[in-house]
Amino acid sequence: MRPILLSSVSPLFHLILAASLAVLGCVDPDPAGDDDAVGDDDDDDDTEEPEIPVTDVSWQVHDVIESLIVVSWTQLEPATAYVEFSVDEGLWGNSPALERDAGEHQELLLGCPYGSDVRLRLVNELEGQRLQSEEQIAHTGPLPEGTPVAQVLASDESRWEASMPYLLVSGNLDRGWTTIVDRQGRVVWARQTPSFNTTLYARISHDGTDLLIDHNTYWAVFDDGEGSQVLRLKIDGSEVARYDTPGLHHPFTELADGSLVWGAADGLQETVEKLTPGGVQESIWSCQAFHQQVGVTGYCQSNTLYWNQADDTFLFSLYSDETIVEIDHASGDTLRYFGHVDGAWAFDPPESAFHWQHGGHFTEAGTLITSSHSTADSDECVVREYELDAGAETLHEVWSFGVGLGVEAEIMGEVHRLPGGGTLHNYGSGARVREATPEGDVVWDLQWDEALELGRTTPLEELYALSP
Amino acid sequence: MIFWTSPMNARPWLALALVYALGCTEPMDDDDTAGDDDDTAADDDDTAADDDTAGDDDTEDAVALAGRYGQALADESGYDGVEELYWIADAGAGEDLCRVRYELRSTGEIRTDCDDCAWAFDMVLDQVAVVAESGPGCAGMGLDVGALGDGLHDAYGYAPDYFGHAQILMADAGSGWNAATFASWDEASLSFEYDWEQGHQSYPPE
Repeated sequence: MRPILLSSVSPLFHLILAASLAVLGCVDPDPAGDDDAVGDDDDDDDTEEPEIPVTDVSWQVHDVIESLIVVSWTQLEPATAYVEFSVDEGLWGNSPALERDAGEHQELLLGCPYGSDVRLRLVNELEGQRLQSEEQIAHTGPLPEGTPVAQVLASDESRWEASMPYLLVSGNLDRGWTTIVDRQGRVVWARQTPSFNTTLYARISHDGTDLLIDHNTYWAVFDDGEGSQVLRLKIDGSEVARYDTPGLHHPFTELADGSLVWGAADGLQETVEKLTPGGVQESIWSCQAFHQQVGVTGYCQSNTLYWNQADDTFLFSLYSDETIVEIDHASGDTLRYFGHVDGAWAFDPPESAFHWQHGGHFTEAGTLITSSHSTADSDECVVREYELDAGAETLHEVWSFGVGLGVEAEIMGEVHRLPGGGTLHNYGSGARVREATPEGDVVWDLQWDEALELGRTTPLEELYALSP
Repeated sequence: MIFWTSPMNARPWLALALVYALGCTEPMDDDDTAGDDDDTAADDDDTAADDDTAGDDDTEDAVALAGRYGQALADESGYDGVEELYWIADAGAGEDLCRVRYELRSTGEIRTDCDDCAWAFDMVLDQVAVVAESGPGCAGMGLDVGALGDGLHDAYGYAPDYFGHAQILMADAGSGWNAATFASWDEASLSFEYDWEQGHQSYPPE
């Protein structure tokens, strides 16, 4: 706790109206275009300006997540209030602009790297006037020991996806970790998974307001996932809920009603299980039955579970079978399957077939996209995208990335199609994430310690939705 | 196959020898959430008023990390190495409270009942020695060093591609093969190594 009392008023007077205030983190420019601060060159008479109606402005490092700054103040009269803050010279972000009654208030500053200085100022909008407190310098806490840290190998701000200033990253580096990194690769949030658990599939809740973090025991104490759980957390680390997900070893997802669905190991076999908001666990699908249907005798294990809300189906990626199965949620029926077991759809051309696939899902355009090894015998990790031809039961490859580039990932991997048309490719045990344009140009390239087994990654547009 | 009931099945002879003093026989629930005081590097919510460090006035038991570390030369023809049982203070960050070392060798022919294994053997141990001891010591952690001298040990095997993902030490305490922990084996040098963290165990503060 390092409270610093700030002066209660600001001498500055601004006539700038912030018609709308985007909720941005540290990396975004001042949304109001307002570069006024202490030391500005206003030549008007400051002594005549009204004062911001606040007292006792202070800050402290958050007790649990030390990259978060907690700003506290007393509002003397109601106003629209927010905190502007900056880590990088000339780039200002702000907390959400909220109507604040008279009284004590707090706000979190999100998106600031560990170990950084943060310039901050409290702003009130009152009767068409913008009033701000004196600027202060806060300091975030040190990066937690052992946190996976990435190097930026390539960065082209002019061409990367503008709506993705942050990336949620999970993985295992001796211990399980969940972090959020910014476009400079700086860690702005970190949480170590407890001993005897690991985290491979952290994600954002369906409504976008919570972090869902797996505590996976399957790959930590080899208990067949008996003790695996999923935690629902806010960005301040506070726990909203905790769910038992027995058998969880890799993927899970959340449905719109809050149900959790996951692939559950059962020895050499696997089922798809659902836990309803009421706490009832239901079995949706059995891989054993599927194996009997298609004549497979080996073990069954999944690595991706994607819920297609439009038609209430799942894509369940079975790396054990190099096959992606589409499952009807309501009936549990296997609707169709793509890959290498008997009866699977064909690939066009045949050499576009995916192998050791990971992260398969449908894009908004209706194509199937997945991370894959480039051939059956290669560890080269690529992205393959297909159009679906139901009549011919064929996947026609329409785009790929990484073929011939030689970037390898022995296991794991993932892919995201970004809103602007780019593609984010996660290389799993290759501990690397690269963003490619539709033309295949690499515009962002992050490389972690090669010992990191990179789990699920999720592009994030902003962080304040995750606030408590 | 391990010395007590976490999380795998225990070999009865050693379980009886060790479980007596084990305050925690399963992986410890150290979920770091608001409200609890389990610290991790990333989630250190201690404040001056909540300082769980040595020297504070907490009366709760301290916690040790218990496990076994092994190195060997091994292949289909046999296994020859050493194993150390350890209890490390401060959940693994402190000094050795107890470290016992013994030689571990295969006995008999290669076992063929471990489907995932490249090699697997029954094992015997010998030359037991306490190599480090402090605080409550081995007895305080519930280990009867003398009981190790009967030479019995879980069977060990090596799975090079467990569920397509990992190199694994497999163990059989008499009830079948189970994955134990991550391991590494270099086929050229025959060097085999593992560090099997088995659980947190509480012990009374001094």
